[in-house]
Amino acid sequence: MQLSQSQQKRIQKYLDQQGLNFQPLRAEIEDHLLSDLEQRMDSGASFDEAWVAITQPLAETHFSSIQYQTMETIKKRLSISNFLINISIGLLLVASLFKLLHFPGTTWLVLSSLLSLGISFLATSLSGIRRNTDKKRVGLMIVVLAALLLFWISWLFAVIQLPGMVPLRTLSIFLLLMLFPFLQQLISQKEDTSREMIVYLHEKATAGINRLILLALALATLLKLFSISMNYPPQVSAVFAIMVLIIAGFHLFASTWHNQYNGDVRQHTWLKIFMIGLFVIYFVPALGSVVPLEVRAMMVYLFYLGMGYLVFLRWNLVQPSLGTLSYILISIFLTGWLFQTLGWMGHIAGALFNLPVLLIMVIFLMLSQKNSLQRLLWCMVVAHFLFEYPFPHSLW
Amino acid sequence: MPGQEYIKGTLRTIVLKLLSEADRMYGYEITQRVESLTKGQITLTYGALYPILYKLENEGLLQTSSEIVDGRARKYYTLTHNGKEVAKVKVDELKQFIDSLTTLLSPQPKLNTSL
Repeated sequence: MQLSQSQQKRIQKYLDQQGLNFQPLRAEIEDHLLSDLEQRMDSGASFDEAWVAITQPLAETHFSSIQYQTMETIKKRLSISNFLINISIGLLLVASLFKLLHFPGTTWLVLSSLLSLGISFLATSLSGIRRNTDKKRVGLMIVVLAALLLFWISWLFAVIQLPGMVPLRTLSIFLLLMLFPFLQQLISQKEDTSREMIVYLHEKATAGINRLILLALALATLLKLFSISMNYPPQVSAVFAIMVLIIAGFHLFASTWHNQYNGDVRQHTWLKIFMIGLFVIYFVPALGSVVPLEVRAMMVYLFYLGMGYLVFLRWNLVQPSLGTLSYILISIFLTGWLFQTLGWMGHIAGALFNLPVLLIMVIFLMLSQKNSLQRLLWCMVVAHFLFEYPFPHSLW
Repeated sequence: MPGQEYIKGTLRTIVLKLLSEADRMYGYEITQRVESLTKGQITLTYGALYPILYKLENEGLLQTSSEIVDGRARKYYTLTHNGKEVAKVKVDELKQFIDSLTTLLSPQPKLNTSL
Protein backbone atom coordinates (compact mmCIF):
# COMPACT_ATOMS: atom_id res chain seq x y z
CA MET A 1 0.00 0.00 0.00
CA GLN A 2 1.45 3.37 -1.06
CA LEU A 3 1.40 6.12 1.57
CA SER A 4 -0.27 9.47 0.95
CA GLN A 5 1.70 12.73 0.63
CA SER A 6 0.63 13.89 4.11
CA GLN A 7 1.67 10.57 5.65
CA GLN A 8 5.07 10.79 3.96
CA LYS A 9 5.39 14.37 5.19
CA ARG A 10 4.71 13.15 8.72
CA ILE A 11 7.61 10.71 8.41
CA GLN A 12 9.91 13.48 7.13
CA LYS A 13 8.91 15.64 10.07
CA TYR A 14 9.57 12.79 12.50
CA LEU A 15 13.06 12.25 11.03
CA ASP A 16 13.72 15.99 11.25
CA GLN A 17 12.67 15.97 14.91
CA GLN A 18 15.02 13.08 15.53
CA GLY A 19 17.83 15.20 14.09
CA LEU A 20 18.60 12.66 11.38
CA ASN A 21 20.25 14.83 8.75
CA PHE A 22 23.02 12.64 7.35
CA GLN A 23 21.38 12.00 3.99
CA PRO A 24 22.61 8.46 3.12
CA LEU A 25 21.51 7.11 6.50
CA ARG A 26 18.31 9.15 6.48
CA ALA A 27 17.28 7.76 3.07
CA GLU A 28 17.90 4.24 4.34
CA ILE A 29 15.98 4.70 7.59
CA GLU A 30 13.15 6.36 5.66
CA ASP A 31 12.92 3.38 3.31
CA HIS A 32 12.98 1.04 6.31
CA LEU A 33 10.20 2.94 8.09
CA LEU A 34 8.08 3.13 4.95
CA SER A 35 8.52 -0.58 4.18
CA ASP A 36 7.58 -1.46 7.77
CA LEU A 37 4.54 0.84 7.68
CA GLU A 38 3.36 -0.49 4.33
CA GLN A 39 3.64 -4.08 5.49
CA ARG A 40 1.67 -3.43 8.68
CA MET A 41 -0.98 -1.54 6.72
CA ASP A 42 -1.21 -4.39 4.21
CA SER A 43 -1.90 -6.66 7.19
CA GLY A 44 -4.91 -4.53 8.11
CA ALA A 45 -3.54 -1.88 10.50
CA SER A 46 -4.40 1.79 9.98
CA PHE A 47 -1.57 4.24 9.35
CA ASP A 48 -1.87 5.64 12.88
CA GLU A 49 -1.84 2.18 14.50
CA ALA A 50 1.20 1.12 12.46
CA TRP A 51 2.96 4.43 13.15
CA VAL A 52 2.46 4.17 16.90
CA ALA A 53 3.58 0.53 16.96
CA ILE A 54 6.80 1.40 15.13
CA THR A 55 7.75 4.69 16.78
CA GLN A 56 6.56 4.20 20.37
CA PRO A 57 9.46 1.94 21.41
CA LEU A 58 12.00 4.38 19.96
CA ALA A 59 13.56 7.04 22.17
CA GLU A 60 13.62 10.67 21.03
CA THR A 61 17.33 10.39 20.35
CA HIS A 62 17.25 6.89 18.83
CA PHE A 63 18.14 7.91 15.30
CA SER A 64 20.51 10.70 16.27
CA SER A 65 22.52 8.20 18.30
CA ILE A 66 22.61 5.79 15.32
CA GLN A 67 23.73 8.75 13.21
CA TYR A 68 26.49 9.52 15.69
CA GLN A 69 27.76 5.92 15.61
CA THR A 70 27.63 5.92 11.80
CA MET A 71 29.54 9.19 11.61
CA GLU A 72 32.20 7.79 13.91
CA THR A 73 32.62 4.84 11.54
CA ILE A 74 32.88 7.10 8.50
CA LYS A 75 35.37 9.38 10.24
CA LYS A 76 37.72 6.42 10.66
CA ARG A 77 37.47 5.76 6.91
CA LEU A 78 38.60 9.28 6.12
CA SER A 79 41.49 9.20 8.53
CA ILE A 80 44.17 10.42 6.07
CA SER A 81 42.00 13.35 4.96
CA ASN A 82 41.19 14.12 8.59
CA PHE A 83 44.87 14.11 9.35
CA LEU A 84 45.56 16.63 6.55
CA ILE A 85 42.60 18.80 7.61
CA ASN A 86 43.87 18.81 11.20
CA ILE A 87 47.33 19.81 9.93
CA SER A 88 45.76 22.68 7.95
CA ILE A 89 43.79 23.93 10.95
CA GLY A 90 46.88 23.62 13.12
CA LEU A 91 48.92 25.65 10.64
CA LEU A 92 46.22 28.32 10.45
CA LEU A 93 46.18 28.53 14.23
CA VAL A 94 49.94 28.93 14.38
CA ALA A 95 49.72 31.54 11.61
CA SER A 96 47.12 33.45 13.63
CA LEU A 97 49.35 33.40 16.69
CA PHE A 98 52.33 34.58 14.61
CA LYS A 99 50.22 37.43 13.25
CA LEU A 100 49.01 38.43 16.72
CA LEU A 101 52.56 38.42 18.05
CA HIS A 102 53.92 40.16 14.92
CA PHE A 103 56.29 37.26 14.16
CA PRO A 104 57.49 36.83 10.56
CA GLY A 105 56.38 33.95 8.31
CA THR A 106 52.60 34.29 8.71
CA THR A 107 52.01 34.37 4.96
CA TRP A 108 53.84 31.09 4.37
CA LEU A 109 52.01 29.39 7.22
CA VAL A 110 48.62 30.46 5.84
CA LEU A 111 49.76 29.36 2.39
CA SER A 112 50.85 25.92 3.65
CA SER A 113 47.55 25.55 5.46
CA LEU A 114 45.46 26.37 2.38
CA LEU A 115 47.67 24.06 0.32
CA SER A 116 47.19 21.24 2.79
CA LEU A 117 43.40 21.76 2.75
CA GLY A 118 43.42 21.66 -1.07
CA ILE A 119 45.49 18.45 -1.10
CA SER A 120 43.15 16.88 1.44
CA PHE A 121 40.11 17.81 -0.68
CA LEU A 122 41.77 16.44 -3.82
CA ALA A 123 42.94 13.20 -2.15
CA THR A 124 39.50 12.51 -0.63
CA SER A 125 37.73 13.16 -3.93
CA LEU A 126 40.11 11.05 -6.04
CA SER A 127 40.07 8.13 -3.63
CA GLY A 128 36.25 8.37 -3.55
CA ILE A 129 36.12 8.29 -7.36
CA ARG A 130 38.44 5.27 -7.47
CA ARG A 131 36.45 3.36 -4.84
CA ASN A 132 32.97 4.01 -6.23
CA THR A 133 33.17 3.02 -9.85
CA ASP A 134 29.43 2.20 -9.95
CA LYS A 135 28.48 5.88 -9.55
CA LYS A 136 27.58 7.99 -12.56
CA ARG A 137 29.23 10.91 -14.32
CA VAL A 138 32.82 10.64 -13.14
CA GLY A 139 33.97 13.01 -15.91
CA LEU A 140 31.65 15.74 -14.69
CA MET A 141 32.92 15.23 -11.14
CA ILE A 142 36.50 15.70 -12.34
CA VAL A 143 35.62 18.93 -14.21
CA VAL A 144 33.87 20.34 -11.11
CA LEU A 145 36.83 19.26 -8.98
CA ALA A 146 39.24 21.06 -11.33
CA ALA A 147 37.15 24.26 -11.25
CA LEU A 148 36.96 24.18 -7.45
CA LEU A 149 40.70 23.62 -7.17
CA LEU A 150 41.35 26.49 -9.54
CA PHE A 151 39.21 28.70 -7.30
CA TRP A 152 41.15 27.50 -4.26
CA ILE A 153 44.49 28.13 -5.98
CA SER A 154 43.36 31.69 -6.74
CA TRP A 155 43.13 32.19 -2.96
CA LEU A 156 46.67 30.88 -2.59
CA PHE A 157 47.75 33.44 -5.18
CA ALA A 158 45.93 36.14 -3.19
CA VAL A 159 47.79 35.18 0.00
CA ILE A 160 51.22 35.42 -1.62
CA GLN A 161 50.06 38.38 -3.73
CA LEU A 162 50.98 36.87 -7.08
CA PRO A 163 49.93 38.91 -10.12
CA GLY A 164 47.91 36.09 -11.78
CA MET A 165 45.31 36.01 -9.02
CA VAL A 166 42.60 38.07 -10.76
CA PRO A 167 42.54 36.17 -14.10
CA LEU A 168 42.77 32.84 -12.26
CA ARG A 169 39.84 33.65 -9.99
CA THR A 170 37.83 35.10 -12.86
CA LEU A 171 38.43 31.94 -14.89
CA SER A 172 37.45 29.61 -12.02
CA ILE A 173 34.32 31.67 -11.25
CA PHE A 174 33.38 31.68 -14.92
CA LEU A 175 33.83 27.89 -15.08
CA LEU A 176 31.76 27.29 -11.95
CA LEU A 177 29.04 29.67 -13.12
CA MET A 178 28.85 27.73 -16.39
CA LEU A 179 28.85 24.35 -14.67
CA PHE A 180 26.26 25.06 -12.00
CA PRO A 181 23.14 25.46 -14.21
CA PHE A 182 24.13 22.29 -16.06
CA LEU A 183 24.58 20.40 -12.78
CA GLN A 184 21.36 21.78 -11.32
CA GLN A 185 19.41 20.79 -14.43
CA LEU A 186 20.95 17.32 -14.45
CA ILE A 187 20.44 16.61 -10.77
CA SER A 188 16.91 17.99 -10.64
CA GLN A 189 15.92 15.40 -13.26
CA LYS A 190 16.98 12.52 -11.02
CA GLU A 191 14.67 10.76 -8.64
CA ASP A 192 17.59 9.22 -6.76
CA THR A 193 20.49 11.65 -6.69
CA SER A 194 22.71 9.42 -4.55
CA ARG A 195 23.78 7.50 -7.67
CA GLU A 196 25.46 10.63 -9.04
CA MET A 197 29.15 10.62 -8.17
CA ILE A 198 29.23 14.28 -7.11
CA VAL A 199 26.23 13.96 -4.77
CA TYR A 200 27.43 10.63 -3.39
CA LEU A 201 30.92 11.90 -2.55
CA HIS A 202 29.50 15.07 -1.03
CA GLU A 203 27.21 12.98 1.19
CA LYS A 204 30.12 10.88 2.36
CA ALA A 205 32.22 13.94 3.18
CA THR A 206 29.39 15.81 4.95
CA ALA A 207 30.51 14.98 8.49
CA GLY A 208 34.07 16.18 7.87
CA ILE A 209 32.96 19.37 6.10
CA ASN A 210 30.55 20.25 8.95
CA ARG A 211 33.30 19.76 11.49
CA LEU A 212 35.69 21.95 9.51
CA ILE A 213 33.10 24.74 9.18
CA LEU A 214 32.23 24.77 12.89
CA LEU A 215 35.89 24.73 13.86
CA ALA A 216 36.77 27.59 11.49
CA LEU A 217 33.77 29.60 12.74
CA ALA A 218 34.73 29.05 16.39
CA LEU A 219 38.26 30.26 15.60
CA ALA A 220 36.96 33.28 13.65
CA THR A 221 34.78 34.24 16.64
CA LEU A 222 37.51 33.79 19.24
CA LEU A 223 40.10 35.69 17.20
CA LYS A 224 37.60 38.47 16.51
CA LEU A 225 36.98 38.83 20.24
CA PHE A 226 40.74 39.02 20.78
CA SER A 227 41.15 41.59 18.03
CA ILE A 228 38.39 43.77 19.53
CA SER A 229 39.33 43.51 23.18
CA MET A 230 43.12 43.65 22.74
CA ASN A 231 43.32 45.72 19.58
CA TYR A 232 44.91 42.93 17.55
CA PRO A 233 44.74 43.08 13.73
CA PRO A 234 41.34 41.84 12.45
CA GLN A 235 42.82 40.01 9.43
CA VAL A 236 43.48 36.83 11.42
CA SER A 237 39.79 36.36 12.10
CA ALA A 238 38.88 37.40 8.55
CA VAL A 239 40.80 34.45 7.03
CA PHE A 240 38.64 32.00 9.00
CA ALA A 241 35.44 33.97 8.26
CA ILE A 242 36.13 33.86 4.50
CA MET A 243 36.90 30.15 4.78
CA VAL A 244 33.49 29.58 6.40
CA LEU A 245 31.71 31.72 3.78
CA ILE A 246 33.26 29.77 0.90
CA ILE A 247 33.04 26.23 2.27
CA ALA A 248 29.60 26.63 3.90
CA GLY A 249 28.26 28.29 0.73
CA PHE A 250 29.31 25.44 -1.57
CA HIS A 251 28.25 22.90 1.04
CA LEU A 252 24.81 24.52 1.32
CA PHE A 253 24.18 24.37 -2.43
CA ALA A 254 25.41 20.77 -2.65
CA SER A 255 23.18 19.80 0.31
CA THR A 256 20.09 20.93 -1.62
CA TRP A 257 20.87 18.28 -4.26
CA HIS A 258 20.10 15.46 -1.86
CA ASN A 259 16.85 13.55 -2.42
CA GLN A 260 15.15 15.26 0.52
CA TYR A 261 15.19 18.74 -1.10
CA ASN A 262 15.80 17.83 -4.73
CA GLY A 263 12.25 16.40 -4.92
CA ASP A 264 10.87 19.90 -4.33
CA VAL A 265 13.22 21.46 -6.92
CA ARG A 266 12.31 18.69 -9.41
CA GLN A 267 8.61 19.48 -9.11
CA HIS A 268 8.92 23.24 -9.63
CA THR A 269 10.78 24.73 -12.58
CA TRP A 270 10.77 28.18 -10.96
CA LEU A 271 12.65 26.70 -7.97
CA LYS A 272 15.31 25.31 -10.28
CA ILE A 273 15.79 28.74 -11.89
CA PHE A 274 15.70 30.33 -8.44
CA MET A 275 18.55 28.05 -7.28
CA ILE A 276 20.66 28.96 -10.33
CA GLY A 277 19.99 32.65 -9.67
CA LEU A 278 21.01 32.22 -6.02
CA PHE A 279 24.28 30.58 -7.07
CA VAL A 280 25.08 33.47 -9.41
CA ILE A 281 24.48 36.12 -6.76
CA TYR A 282 26.36 34.08 -4.15
CA PHE A 283 29.39 33.65 -6.36
CA VAL A 284 29.76 36.81 -8.47
CA PRO A 285 30.74 38.99 -5.43
CA ALA A 286 33.86 36.77 -5.15
CA LEU A 287 35.15 38.59 -8.25
CA GLY A 288 35.94 41.46 -5.89
CA SER A 289 36.52 44.97 -7.14
CA VAL A 290 35.86 43.93 -10.76
CA VAL A 291 32.18 44.28 -9.79
CA PRO A 292 31.09 47.64 -8.27
CA LEU A 293 30.61 47.58 -4.49
CA GLU A 294 26.92 48.54 -4.72
CA VAL A 295 26.19 45.59 -7.02
CA ARG A 296 28.13 43.16 -4.83
CA ALA A 297 26.39 44.33 -1.66
CA MET A 298 22.98 44.03 -3.30
CA MET A 299 23.82 40.51 -4.50
CA VAL A 300 24.96 39.39 -1.04
CA TYR A 301 21.78 40.84 0.45
CA LEU A 302 19.51 39.11 -2.08
CA PHE A 303 21.38 35.82 -1.66
CA TYR A 304 20.72 35.70 2.08
CA LEU A 305 17.07 36.69 1.67
CA GLY A 306 16.50 34.17 -1.15
CA MET A 307 18.35 31.28 0.46
CA GLY A 308 16.81 32.22 3.83
CA TYR A 309 13.33 31.90 2.31
CA LEU A 310 14.08 28.32 1.17
CA VAL A 311 15.96 27.20 4.25
CA PHE A 312 14.05 28.91 7.05
CA LEU A 313 10.54 28.98 5.59
CA ARG A 314 10.04 26.48 2.76
CA TRP A 315 12.18 23.52 3.84
CA ASN A 316 11.66 23.84 7.56
CA LEU A 317 9.06 21.34 8.79
CA VAL A 318 10.07 20.95 12.40
CA GLN A 319 10.73 24.36 13.93
CA PRO A 320 8.53 26.80 11.96
CA SER A 321 8.60 29.51 14.66
CA LEU A 322 12.39 29.31 14.93
CA GLY A 323 12.63 29.48 11.12
CA THR A 324 10.36 32.52 10.88
CA LEU A 325 12.17 34.30 13.69
CA SER A 326 15.54 33.49 12.08
CA TYR A 327 14.34 34.90 8.77
CA ILE A 328 13.08 38.12 10.40
CA LEU A 329 16.36 38.53 12.27
CA ILE A 330 18.65 38.05 9.28
CA SER A 331 16.40 40.31 7.17
CA ILE A 332 16.65 43.14 9.71
CA PHE A 333 20.39 42.70 10.18
CA LEU A 334 21.19 42.49 6.48
CA THR A 335 18.90 45.36 5.50
CA GLY A 336 20.72 47.50 8.06
CA TRP A 337 24.08 46.27 6.77
CA LEU A 338 23.10 47.02 3.15
CA PHE A 339 21.92 50.53 4.02
CA GLN A 340 25.16 51.19 5.89
CA THR A 341 27.34 49.79 3.11
CA LEU A 342 25.59 51.88 0.47
CA GLY A 343 25.59 54.92 2.71
CA TRP A 344 21.81 55.24 2.63
CA MET A 345 21.48 55.65 6.37
CA GLY A 346 23.93 56.95 8.92
CA HIS A 347 24.86 55.94 12.46
CA ILE A 348 23.03 52.64 12.84
CA ALA A 349 26.10 50.41 12.55
CA GLY A 350 26.57 50.44 16.32
CA ALA A 351 23.13 48.93 16.75
CA LEU A 352 23.92 46.19 14.23
CA PHE A 353 27.52 45.33 15.02
CA ASN A 354 27.95 44.66 18.70
CA LEU A 355 28.52 41.74 21.02
CA PRO A 356 24.85 41.20 22.05
CA VAL A 357 23.89 40.82 18.36
CA LEU A 358 26.75 38.34 17.89
CA LEU A 359 25.54 36.43 20.96
CA ILE A 360 21.96 36.29 19.62
CA MET A 361 23.25 34.95 16.29
CA VAL A 362 25.33 32.27 18.02
CA ILE A 363 22.28 31.23 20.08
CA PHE A 364 20.20 30.87 16.91
CA LEU A 365 23.00 28.88 15.32
CA MET A 366 23.04 26.53 18.30
CA LEU A 367 19.25 26.16 18.23
CA SER A 368 19.47 25.10 14.57
CA GLN A 369 21.64 22.04 15.27
CA LYS A 370 18.97 19.56 14.17
CA ASN A 371 18.49 21.13 10.74
CA SER A 372 21.65 21.02 8.64
CA LEU A 373 20.60 23.67 6.10
CA GLN A 374 19.53 26.15 8.81
CA ARG A 375 22.76 25.55 10.67
CA LEU A 376 24.83 26.17 7.53
CA LEU A 377 23.03 29.40 6.68
CA TRP A 378 23.43 30.66 10.23
CA CYS A 379 27.15 29.79 10.02
CA MET A 380 27.36 31.97 6.91
CA VAL A 381 25.48 34.87 8.53
CA VAL A 382 27.72 34.73 11.61
CA ALA A 383 30.83 34.58 9.39
CA HIS A 384 29.52 37.56 7.41
CA PHE A 385 28.97 39.43 10.67
CA LEU A 386 32.48 38.60 11.92
CA PHE A 387 34.05 39.64 8.63
CA GLU A 388 32.35 43.06 8.75
CA TYR A 389 32.61 43.61 12.51
CA PRO A 390 33.58 46.19 13.69
CA PHE A 391 31.88 48.14 10.92
CA PRO A 392 33.63 51.46 10.15
CA HIS A 393 30.95 53.41 12.01
CA SER A 394 30.46 50.87 14.78
CA LEU A 395 30.22 51.98 18.40
CA TRP A 396 32.89 49.39 19.21
CA MET B 1 12.56 -12.00 24.03
CA PRO B 2 15.22 -14.29 25.50
CA GLY B 3 17.56 -14.14 22.48
CA GLN B 4 18.00 -10.34 22.54
CA GLU B 5 20.42 -10.39 25.45
CA TYR B 6 22.97 -12.44 23.51
CA ILE B 7 22.60 -10.88 20.07
CA LYS B 8 25.18 -8.08 20.28
CA GLY B 9 28.35 -10.12 19.85
CA THR B 10 26.93 -12.24 17.05
CA LEU B 11 25.17 -9.60 14.95
CA ARG B 12 28.07 -9.10 12.58
CA THR B 13 28.21 -12.80 11.77
CA ILE B 14 24.43 -13.00 11.38
CA VAL B 15 24.44 -10.17 8.81
CA LEU B 16 27.37 -11.71 6.91
CA LYS B 17 25.69 -15.14 6.90
CA LEU B 18 22.38 -13.78 5.59
CA LEU B 19 24.11 -11.81 2.86
CA SER B 20 26.17 -14.85 1.85
CA GLU B 21 22.91 -16.65 1.07
CA ALA B 22 21.41 -13.85 -1.01
CA ASP B 23 22.52 -11.85 -4.03
CA ARG B 24 21.75 -8.62 -2.26
CA MET B 25 19.58 -7.40 0.63
CA TYR B 26 18.34 -4.09 2.01
CA GLY B 27 18.04 -3.08 5.66
CA TYR B 28 14.37 -3.84 6.22
CA GLU B 29 14.71 -7.15 4.38
CA ILE B 30 17.53 -8.22 6.72
CA THR B 31 15.43 -7.50 9.83
CA GLN B 32 12.46 -9.40 8.34
CA ARG B 33 14.63 -12.37 7.43
CA VAL B 34 16.10 -12.58 10.93
CA GLU B 35 12.65 -12.35 12.48
CA SER B 36 11.18 -14.98 10.20
CA LEU B 37 14.08 -17.47 10.55
CA THR B 38 14.06 -17.20 14.34
CA LYS B 39 10.23 -17.16 14.52
CA GLY B 40 10.31 -13.79 16.22
CA GLN B 41 12.83 -14.80 18.90
CA ILE B 42 15.38 -12.31 17.58
CA THR B 43 14.51 -8.86 16.26
CA LEU B 44 17.08 -6.41 14.97
CA THR B 45 16.59 -2.78 16.00
CA TYR B 46 17.64 0.12 13.80
CA GLY B 47 20.33 0.93 16.35
CA ALA B 48 21.78 -2.55 16.11
CA LEU B 49 21.62 -3.01 12.36
CA TYR B 50 22.69 0.20 10.63
CA PRO B 51 25.95 0.95 12.48
CA ILE B 52 26.99 -2.67 11.75
CA LEU B 53 26.17 -2.31 8.06
CA TYR B 54 28.21 0.89 7.77
CA LYS B 55 31.05 -0.70 9.71
CA LEU B 56 31.13 -3.75 7.42
CA GLU B 57 31.05 -1.46 4.37
CA ASN B 58 33.88 0.56 5.88
CA GLU B 59 35.94 -2.59 6.31
CA GLY B 60 35.45 -3.46 2.65
CA LEU B 61 33.31 -6.52 3.39
CA LEU B 62 30.16 -5.07 1.82
CA GLN B 63 29.47 -2.99 -1.24
CA THR B 64 26.33 -1.02 -1.88
CA SER B 65 24.11 -0.08 -4.79
CA SER B 66 20.90 1.89 -4.89
CA GLU B 67 17.75 1.57 -6.90
CA ILE B 68 14.42 3.36 -7.09
CA VAL B 69 11.65 1.17 -5.70
CA ASP B 70 8.09 2.50 -5.28
CA GLY B 71 9.36 6.02 -5.91
CA ARG B 72 12.04 6.01 -3.24
CA ALA B 73 15.73 5.21 -3.08
CA ARG B 74 16.57 1.77 -1.73
CA LYS B 75 20.11 0.82 -0.76
CA TYR B 76 21.15 -2.78 -1.31
CA TYR B 77 24.10 -4.54 0.31
CA THR B 78 26.19 -7.26 -1.33
CA LEU B 79 29.20 -9.16 0.02
CA THR B 80 32.52 -8.34 -1.60
CA HIS B 81 34.93 -11.17 -2.45
CA ASN B 82 36.72 -10.55 0.84
CA GLY B 83 33.33 -10.37 2.60
CA LYS B 84 32.44 -13.86 1.35
CA GLU B 85 35.69 -15.27 2.75
CA VAL B 86 35.22 -13.52 6.09
CA ALA B 87 31.59 -14.71 6.27
CA LYS B 88 32.72 -18.35 6.01
CA VAL B 89 35.35 -17.94 8.71
CA LYS B 90 33.02 -16.05 11.06
CA VAL B 91 30.19 -18.56 10.68
CA ASP B 92 32.59 -21.46 11.42
CA GLU B 93 33.94 -19.63 14.45
CA LEU B 94 30.45 -18.96 15.77
CA LYS B 95 29.44 -22.60 15.24
CA GLN B 96 32.47 -23.73 17.22
CA PHE B 97 31.61 -21.27 19.94
CA ILE B 98 28.01 -22.53 20.06
CA ASP B 99 29.30 -26.12 20.30
CA SER B 100 31.49 -25.12 23.21
CA LEU B 101 28.57 -23.38 24.87
CA THR B 102 26.34 -26.40 24.33
CA THR B 103 28.95 -28.60 25.97
CA LEU B 104 29.31 -26.11 28.79
CA LEU B 105 25.59 -25.81 29.39
CA SER B 106 24.69 -29.50 29.11
CA PRO B 107 24.42 -31.43 32.41
CA GLN B 108 27.85 -32.52 33.57
CA PRO B 109 28.67 -35.28 36.06
CA LYS B 110 29.45 -33.72 39.42
CA LEU B 111 33.14 -33.47 40.18
CA ASN B 112 34.33 -35.35 43.18
CA THR B 113 36.26 -32.68 45.03
CA SER B 114 36.98 -34.71 48.14
CA LEU B 115 40.45 -36.15 48.24
